[in-house]
Amino acid sequence: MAAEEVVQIRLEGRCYPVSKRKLLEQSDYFRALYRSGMREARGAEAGGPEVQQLRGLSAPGLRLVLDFIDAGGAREGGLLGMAPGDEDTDEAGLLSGLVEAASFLQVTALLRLLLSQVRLGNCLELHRLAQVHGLPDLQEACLHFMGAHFHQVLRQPHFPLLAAGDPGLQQRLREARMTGTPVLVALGDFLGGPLAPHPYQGEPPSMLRYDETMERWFPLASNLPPDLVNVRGYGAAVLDNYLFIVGGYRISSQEISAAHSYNPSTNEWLQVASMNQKRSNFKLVAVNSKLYAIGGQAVSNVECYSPEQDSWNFVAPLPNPLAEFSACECKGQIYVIGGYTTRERNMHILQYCPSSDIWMLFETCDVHIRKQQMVSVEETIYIVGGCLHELGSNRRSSQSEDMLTVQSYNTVTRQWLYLKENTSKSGLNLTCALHNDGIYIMSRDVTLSTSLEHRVFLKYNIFSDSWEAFRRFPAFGHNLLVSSLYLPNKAET
Amino acid sequence: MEESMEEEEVLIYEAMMDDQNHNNWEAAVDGFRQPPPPASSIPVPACESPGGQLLAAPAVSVDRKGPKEGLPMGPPPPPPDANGVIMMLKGCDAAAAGAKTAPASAPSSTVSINTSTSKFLMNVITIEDYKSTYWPKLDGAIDQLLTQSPGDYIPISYEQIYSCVYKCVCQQHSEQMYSDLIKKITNHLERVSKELQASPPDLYIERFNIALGQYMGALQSIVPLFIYMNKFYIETKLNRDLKDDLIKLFTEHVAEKHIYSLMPLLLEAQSTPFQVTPSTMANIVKGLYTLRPEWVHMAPTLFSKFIPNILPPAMESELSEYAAQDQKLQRELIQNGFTRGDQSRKRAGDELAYNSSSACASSRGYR
Repeated sequence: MAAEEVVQIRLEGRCYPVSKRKLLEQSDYFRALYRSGMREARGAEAGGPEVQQLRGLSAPGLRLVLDFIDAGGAREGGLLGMAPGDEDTDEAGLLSGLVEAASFLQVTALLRLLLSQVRLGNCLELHRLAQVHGLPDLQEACLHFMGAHFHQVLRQPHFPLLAAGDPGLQQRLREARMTGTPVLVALGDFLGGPLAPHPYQGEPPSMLRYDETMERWFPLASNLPPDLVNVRGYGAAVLDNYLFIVGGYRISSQEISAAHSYNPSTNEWLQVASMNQKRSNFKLVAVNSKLYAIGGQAVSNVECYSPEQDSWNFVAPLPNPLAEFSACECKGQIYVIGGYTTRERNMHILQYCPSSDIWMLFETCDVHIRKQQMVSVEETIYIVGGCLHELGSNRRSSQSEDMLTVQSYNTVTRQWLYLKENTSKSGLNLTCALHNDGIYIMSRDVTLSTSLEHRVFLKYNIFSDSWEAFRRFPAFGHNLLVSSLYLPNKAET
Repeated sequence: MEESMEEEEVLIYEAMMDDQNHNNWEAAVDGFRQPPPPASSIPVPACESPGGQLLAAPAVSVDRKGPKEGLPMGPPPPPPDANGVIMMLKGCDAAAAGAKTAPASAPSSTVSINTSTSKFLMNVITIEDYKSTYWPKLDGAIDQLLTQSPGDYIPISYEQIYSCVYKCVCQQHSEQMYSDLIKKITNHLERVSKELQASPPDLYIERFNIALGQYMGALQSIVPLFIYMNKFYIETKLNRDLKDDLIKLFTEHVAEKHIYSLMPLLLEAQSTPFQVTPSTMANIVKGLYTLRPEWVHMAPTLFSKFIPNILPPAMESELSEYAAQDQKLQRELIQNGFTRGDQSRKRAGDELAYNSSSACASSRGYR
């Protein structure tokens, strides 16, 4: 067998010998160069080795690329210098040299290999390089990865700098984050049993997802972290498609400050920074990419969580501690309605403006409400369940009746509407979530006098102002939470 | 309230700028050419970090890399290249960098990223830089390639011109460069077409052949020079291919305009031995077939002489039919004044044409 033809690649006065056959196999640049018939395609000068001059590339990057070419492109696992745990070397510089040389020489196999090399430590840099060199596949892979690890990416030290240079970046990440299928997810201590929706094997799961076409609940392949089992009175909110479960109390009635987030893209729970204040029976509200933990048992202070810093900071407190109140976000403001102060009924609607950090008295109502749930659509707040008490008619004791009601409050016109009631369902201790075109509600049937609580699952359709009932609810369970999350599409997982 | 509205605007804006391939990288940068909706607007492309690249000194990144890689400390900047392009590009890069003032957010340069991309792409190439320096370089190279004869020695360096294209693509000038390239070649071909029209009939076929061969030869070099633009702009954003586009230009601006005057001359020349060299005939017929296969129908017999398998294959079952057709043709020829006595001379010429065409085609045909 004849010796392989070797080409000397010269860069900045150094030469790197590479097999010409492999160069032609792996590099579109060299294939095109030899096809072009131009000066360099003439081959070696008489007697000497063939030399190809390159300029402007980084030598370490070129070396990595030539190593790859020399290995015939069949390199598995980490690229040289990109092995995990190699963070403190000048990885960014090496990476940019590598991507540049691979792009310039058009080493397609290497560029394809990069798609599987996206990690938390390099995703931002790779994404930027993909933009610079016009590599849409790599850019897509980085966006997908960063969307899946959104909050962790926000916390990367150089994220603020990159985001400042690319104002659209955060928005694109958010869009990448919000892909998939919106699915109802239920958390809680499910008991299984003969009426259970699914013949669970072994331990009943603590997380279920609802399949709307089959009208059935299925276990999610993830469970509550052990820390969260048997925690009651926690605050829950969805921020950037992460489900946060924060604070609460354990059965032993200890209050806690711990915070966890469930990431549906990776199907993982992560513990995040704990609140400064232990609190339970409070409200957790997501506004403008931040979380607000409002009040709690005998607590009036308010804390704000920012995922970029992974930290909680106190902001303006409630005027009074409140019990049995509720809160929600509406048009970038937080509204607090109902419950009791330490002395009396809270008849005020309070509004918190995050940008000015001020609580304001928004309006005083005629009707007292407590223990309700609240969601909002544009400027309308929907008040689901709770105990109503009209001040003028407090002798008629209508407030003792437990029934499921839906009311709306328009924050622009300040108009209340009593929309719908369902006398056979409980309006207390329910959990609900805005999902698609309605509010999905898990509650109890009050007409059945069984010893075990009989759960019901129904939907209030916002647009048609009507109830829709569903069968096949996981019959028994405690401490339930229903929430709407984007789950990754099957094909992507 | 304000913020959510702003977010909506950004969302719509992004959606508009995006295309079906999600080539947001271009869109994001295009955004800078118009006033972007978010308040912060630093007039550098999205791919740049403010400060980082403009402030980066090339020597720093070289120094940084050298020792860590265990390489000897080579001469940090590449040795000055006396020979043209790179020198010019560098001068222009420096000028471009000098012309720009560092953005206000200079403190961010303390974060140690992005300083290393790259000696190539360190400086922004503005559209003015592109027009005054980069395109003229490409323009000159293309001129040379379009006007030289196939097989001539090409003194242009592939690496230098490719680098120029590469930088322009990375600096988001693909669209402009593509349109400039198409415009340039269109102008050239229109000139070629006019010159052909002015040719006397006896030189017409030969000149058409030269024009075709020269253009196809030039494409052999021009297309590889622009592969970076082809891959990252034409294929990705336009879903086309540069070579096809450039061949189509010849079809539209030259071949289509001449096919109806050329074809009768070809048919005439075919029946008149030695009027044109057989290799010219072969080149033109093959070339026309490449440009537009439908042109076969204008002269099926002529095309079938040079291009295999364009007529339906002979079937054994239809032999008697072929024989009948042949006899019919012969009767018609006799009726039209062809006598059998002519046959021997004609055949000899035909044979000559065949032999020499196969011998010459390989040497003169386009690569």
